[in-house]
Amino acid sequence: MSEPRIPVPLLLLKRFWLALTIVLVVVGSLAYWVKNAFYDTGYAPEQPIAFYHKVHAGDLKIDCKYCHFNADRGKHPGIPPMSVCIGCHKHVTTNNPEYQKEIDNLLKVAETGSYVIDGVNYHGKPDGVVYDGGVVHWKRVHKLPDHVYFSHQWHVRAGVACQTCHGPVEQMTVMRQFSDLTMKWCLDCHRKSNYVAGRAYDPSDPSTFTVGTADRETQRQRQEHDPLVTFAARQVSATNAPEADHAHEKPATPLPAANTTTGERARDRHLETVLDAQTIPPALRAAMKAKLKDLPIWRLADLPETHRAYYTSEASFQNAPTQCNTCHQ
Amino acid sequence: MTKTYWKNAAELLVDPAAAPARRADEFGSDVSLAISELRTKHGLTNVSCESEGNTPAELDRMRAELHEALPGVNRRGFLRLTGAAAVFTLAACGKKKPDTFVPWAEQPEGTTIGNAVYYSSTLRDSGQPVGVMVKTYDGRPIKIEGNPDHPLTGGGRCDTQTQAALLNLYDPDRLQDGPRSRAGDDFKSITWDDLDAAVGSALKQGTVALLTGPLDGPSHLALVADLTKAFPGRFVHAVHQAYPRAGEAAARTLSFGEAGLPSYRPESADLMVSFGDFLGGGTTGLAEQIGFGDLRRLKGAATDATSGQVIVFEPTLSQTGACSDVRVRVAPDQLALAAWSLAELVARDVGATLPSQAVKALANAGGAAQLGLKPIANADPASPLEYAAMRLVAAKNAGRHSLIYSGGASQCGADSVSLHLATAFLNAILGNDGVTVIASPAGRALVDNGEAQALIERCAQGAVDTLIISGANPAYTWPASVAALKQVKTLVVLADRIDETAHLAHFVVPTLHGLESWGDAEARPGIYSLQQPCIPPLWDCRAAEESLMAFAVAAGADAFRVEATKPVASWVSVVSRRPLWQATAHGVRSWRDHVRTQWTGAVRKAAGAVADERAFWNAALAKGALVVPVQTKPANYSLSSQAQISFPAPASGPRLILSASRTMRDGAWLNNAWLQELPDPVSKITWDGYLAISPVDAHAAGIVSDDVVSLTVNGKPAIDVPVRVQEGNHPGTMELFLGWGRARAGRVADLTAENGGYRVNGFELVDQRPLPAALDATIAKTGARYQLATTQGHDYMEGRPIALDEVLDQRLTAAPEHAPWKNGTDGEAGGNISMWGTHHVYPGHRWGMTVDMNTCIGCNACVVACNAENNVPVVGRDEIRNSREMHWIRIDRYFTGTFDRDARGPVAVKAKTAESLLDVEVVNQPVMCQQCENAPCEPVCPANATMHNDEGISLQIYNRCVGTRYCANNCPYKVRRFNWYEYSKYRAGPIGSGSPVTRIVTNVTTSGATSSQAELAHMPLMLMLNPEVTVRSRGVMEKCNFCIQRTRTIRDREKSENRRIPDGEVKTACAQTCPTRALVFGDLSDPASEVVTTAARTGTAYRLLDKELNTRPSVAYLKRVRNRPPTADEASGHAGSPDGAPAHQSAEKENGG
Repeated sequence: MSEPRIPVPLLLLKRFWLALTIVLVVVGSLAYWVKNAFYDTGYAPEQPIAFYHKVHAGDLKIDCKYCHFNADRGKHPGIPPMSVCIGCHKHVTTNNPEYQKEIDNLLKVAETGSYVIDGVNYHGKPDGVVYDGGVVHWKRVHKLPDHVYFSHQWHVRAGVACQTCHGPVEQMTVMRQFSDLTMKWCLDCHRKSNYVAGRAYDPSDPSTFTVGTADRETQRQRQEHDPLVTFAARQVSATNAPEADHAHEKPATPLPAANTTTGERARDRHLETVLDAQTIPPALRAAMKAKLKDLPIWRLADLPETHRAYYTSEASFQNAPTQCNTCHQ
Repeated sequence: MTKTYWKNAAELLVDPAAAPARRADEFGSDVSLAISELRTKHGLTNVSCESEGNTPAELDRMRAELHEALPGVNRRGFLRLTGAAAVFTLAACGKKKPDTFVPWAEQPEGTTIGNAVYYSSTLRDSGQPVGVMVKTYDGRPIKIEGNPDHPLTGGGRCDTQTQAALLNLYDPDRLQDGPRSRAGDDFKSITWDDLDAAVGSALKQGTVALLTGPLDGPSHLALVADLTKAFPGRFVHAVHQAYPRAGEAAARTLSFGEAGLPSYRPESADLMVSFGDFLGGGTTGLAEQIGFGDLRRLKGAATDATSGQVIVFEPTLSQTGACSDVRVRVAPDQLALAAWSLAELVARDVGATLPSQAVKALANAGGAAQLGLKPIANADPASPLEYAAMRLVAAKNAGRHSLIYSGGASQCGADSVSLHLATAFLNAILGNDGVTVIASPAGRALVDNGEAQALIERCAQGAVDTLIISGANPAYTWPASVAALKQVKTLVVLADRIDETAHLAHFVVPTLHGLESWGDAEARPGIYSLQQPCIPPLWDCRAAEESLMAFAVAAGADAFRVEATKPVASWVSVVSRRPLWQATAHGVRSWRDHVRTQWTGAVRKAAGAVADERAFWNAALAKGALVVPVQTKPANYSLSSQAQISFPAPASGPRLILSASRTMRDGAWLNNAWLQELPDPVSKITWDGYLAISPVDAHAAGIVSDDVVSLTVNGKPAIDVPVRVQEGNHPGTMELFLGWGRARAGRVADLTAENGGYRVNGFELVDQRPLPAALDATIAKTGARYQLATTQGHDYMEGRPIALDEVLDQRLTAAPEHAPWKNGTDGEAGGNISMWGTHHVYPGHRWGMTVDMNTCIGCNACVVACNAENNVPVVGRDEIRNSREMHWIRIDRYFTGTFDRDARGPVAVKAKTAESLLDVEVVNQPVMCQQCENAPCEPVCPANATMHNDEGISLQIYNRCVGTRYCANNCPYKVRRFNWYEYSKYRAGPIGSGSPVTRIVTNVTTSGATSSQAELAHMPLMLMLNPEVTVRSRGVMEKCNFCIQRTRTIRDREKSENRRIPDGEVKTACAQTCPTRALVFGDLSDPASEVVTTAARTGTAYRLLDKELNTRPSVAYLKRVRNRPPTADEASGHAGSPDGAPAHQSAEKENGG
């Protein structure tokens, strides 16, 4: 009397707990895999030139928009043109040999389009890397999917601090992705701050939430009419900005224009100075400000004569909002 | 005899009686059962809920009941799970790959990263200069649009070929690494300096000849004049064109006693009588298309609206014939007889004297009775000639103007002069000359006037030492000249690739694309436009004009010599890494300086500009166009006694017409995949040249479409060519399209010969230039079959009223049948129970479109514009055969005609069917996503990948799409497109390298990295992509979204400028480019917007299948209105529906069922 033979896999399945364990393991590993595939938080590729945000934004307190001057003008923040790097670094050196090595590499790229250090290049090969156009080809850290329409312009103008999304960049030696950049993450913030949530948005009823309303009146009300008044100062201190502490969660009270030092937009301050200096009637003053607003931020002619020699035509950084304290720390 | 609509002949075989049964089965028997039960229960006899007195609450209850009653499992929930599982699995396969940022070295002042920069320029890719506005991102042109400041673009419109010119710029088959010199049978690379030295020494003595394409613009004319001076007594310049307008020019000279080339302004005419293909003939362009649209457009409001009339006499169905009101078939040899017979009638009525030559010729030929034209139904007079004469005279008596046209590729030769003389005579006696026909004074442009023939003869005799060819390809367009070209001692060819002519050359000199080069143009007398580079030269090439000047300098001519300057070491060729050749560094005047000198000198003086040179130049560059009034003195008609009018004897056998391809024109851009994949406006065939034969001939010979026949023309070797049985072609007339079958155009063109395809080069069939009007030819079946890839063998109408037309006179008596858009909130007012409970709310804009089928000429410019704007991939011939074309917008071409149902049968079998296909009318209907309010595609998506936004656009979210294709199944308009392969990858890589799968694998494995120059050499097409639009990948559904990237930009602008952007400032790519303004885009919530007023004005608007399906589209169609006498059927009101029943009755019947 032989028992009917049961194939081994089915036999295993008969044992409920074993089957359950297998299922759990499979589901668990799949979930882990999926999470890794979707979220790039912490992604920090090695850059061809080790650029230290910590030094520039943190220690030297250079405004983010000094280099990423496109951020409040267009969809993209813009990787700074090489002229912005060279504009400073053809004069600025450092005592730290580790830093100086990177500065030398940068200058080599600008001059020859390549560099070789210790006999090897950035890729570990003996020849120099050729960078088209004599500019560093940076590795991209933050990347939104193609279909996402995200404009830096409106977020910056609305007073959202850079650190809200990009984290404490001023503490990062290597740039890394701070937020997961998922749609949920976008919505979390938009729900909280009710920025673009539609005319009929009722926070207690999530189904009323719409992104990208075309209600112009709502948009107009939320629009920042006078950037001088509502622009929020950036938190740049390395000591009081732990990672979880997002700038927007404790809304910065608008600082009086006279007290603002680091976070203010150069153009506005410049306009303010110019317009203040002369006694102009308020109506004309407003009209002039509106007109001057569209001028390029910074022109050679605005500089004192003694400074113009620094900005030769081969490396001018006319698009960057240079402030006095950028150099004169 | 009932009026019928069909897309292709096979559709005629579909039994109309079965259509209602098929439709009833559309939703499945269980759904139908549930609906009928609901009806019985509530006593609903009609869908009109209001008449039943139902309240909205009751309707909601019924809707819920119906929902409950529907049988089946919760399909959506199930699919959501499976779909999600699939997307997780696929997504988990990816690993983040480093992407590269390449910043500016120095960002130009005033630019913003991510914002486009526009340059005004001029392009000649359609054969005529067109003022364009080039959109560039980061220095890369990504879209060509019409320059709104140019007077001939109708406010920023653009034609098909000019749109497609963008692809030519990034064509990987262009010469990339410098000049070549002959080495045996092959070529070897040489340096620019060596080239200049070698050509210069050849130029130092002997006869020098320059053969070019047509030239205009002050700079080009000055350059030719300077070159003539530089080689005194031994320089010849000639122009070669595939389709010269020699016949028209000769007739003008004979008729008016002075040379000149007519240009046409149909916009000033009320009536057009055409003996040639005005739209697709190959010798007209954008300005003519714009004018034609204005002529065809319904003017006035409501029932008083009227439109111009187009009467066409033609042997084969042409693009103009398809857009005509009255189309009269004439044998090709009898066109001149028909024209002079018409002239005789008109002359009689207006009291003009017919020239004696014409009287004699007409008498010899036996007069109009010989023509045997089919009478126009219900017309008085019924004879087409008398009807046309009556209309022409009536227009003249009413003080209006008309336009008589003849011309095109098949009417460019000496044998068409009699025809052109007739049109010149008619235009003169009707007072059109100077109003709708304007002659350009001679000498303002250099065109093919027969000197090229003389030059080639001299070459054949060995009398030309050095021949430089630039901008012409005689070895292809005139194969008989090849032997002569081989006799030239030094043949220098300036071309962008090693084409047929360059292959014979001793030196091949790579030239720039129009978007990389300077230049200027004078499209019509006094209308100047400037051409400026919008991108540095991609490859190691130089402007053709600079090459000519460099050769002259090397030959010792001082006119072009300048003091050598230090080279600017900023521009480097992508491939060779060598600095690009710079003229001034070599002591040669740069082409830019030459253009600037002409403009700041002669042009500025002619314009009477007071600005200084610099200001004038900058303003000209910014604007791109300049109009200088040109005085023309009125011409007096006096037919020269030397003019001979004769009519060919009636042909005994079949006649072959050689016509210009309506997409490829003269074949110069055969390597352009966008144009290759563009359906022909009439036959809807892509990727191949073909022979169009008449249905009657096909019936007699037992030939069906896709048969391959052997075509024999007198004295020439037979060629094999696939056949298309073309509705509307005159019996005994065959039409072969020129511009196909090039041997050396590039890899895309070579696809034509792959997979058993046929290289059909019609130019080889005849040695004579200009081409004759018609040839004797015979065809014989080979027995082989070849499937021509057409975009209209599928998606039948199923008898539904989709494309509607009506007769102008009838319309005036009938009240408008269709209301334009209903208000967005009247959810149930359509009369159907909607499955949507909530109303749609549009707080801001609601985008919509009006499509005027009355002005649509089927040119496909919208399709190319959409391809460029939305990164739509090219899928290739095999995929088109699988009905997998990717175009987001298509132009459906419907034939209509009164058709005997009993005669229905295959053309090859039923003679009556074949005869019924001879006199057909056409409706062109552009179809894009209709952006339905109640979109059938949206509720069936398991992944919520398609949804509605609050601007009325049905969105497609690519990342959510899991490719179930339910939406495409459920779309009644068939506008959704599925990515069966990773088209974006194999579009970028080497085309023709095996199957799509192999190509993708090859590309992925060999071209993984970004921004390396080796990769750019192979994949320059990547540079062309619009960065604002996602490149879709495999397994994703896509469709038109009304260019959402453009409407989004408006939101940003409204925010930053704090104003509502006025109507007309945002347009979709298709509406922006449409030459005839058939597509109007705008905001439906703005009652004053053009899109709303256009739809409401004429009372001809209807929405596709809205009555039947309650989809509530955002697109309104304006019916095709025919300005002709109604047929008996139409007069009695039994027309308009595909099934023969009156349109509104059948529609209501379907609603009730």
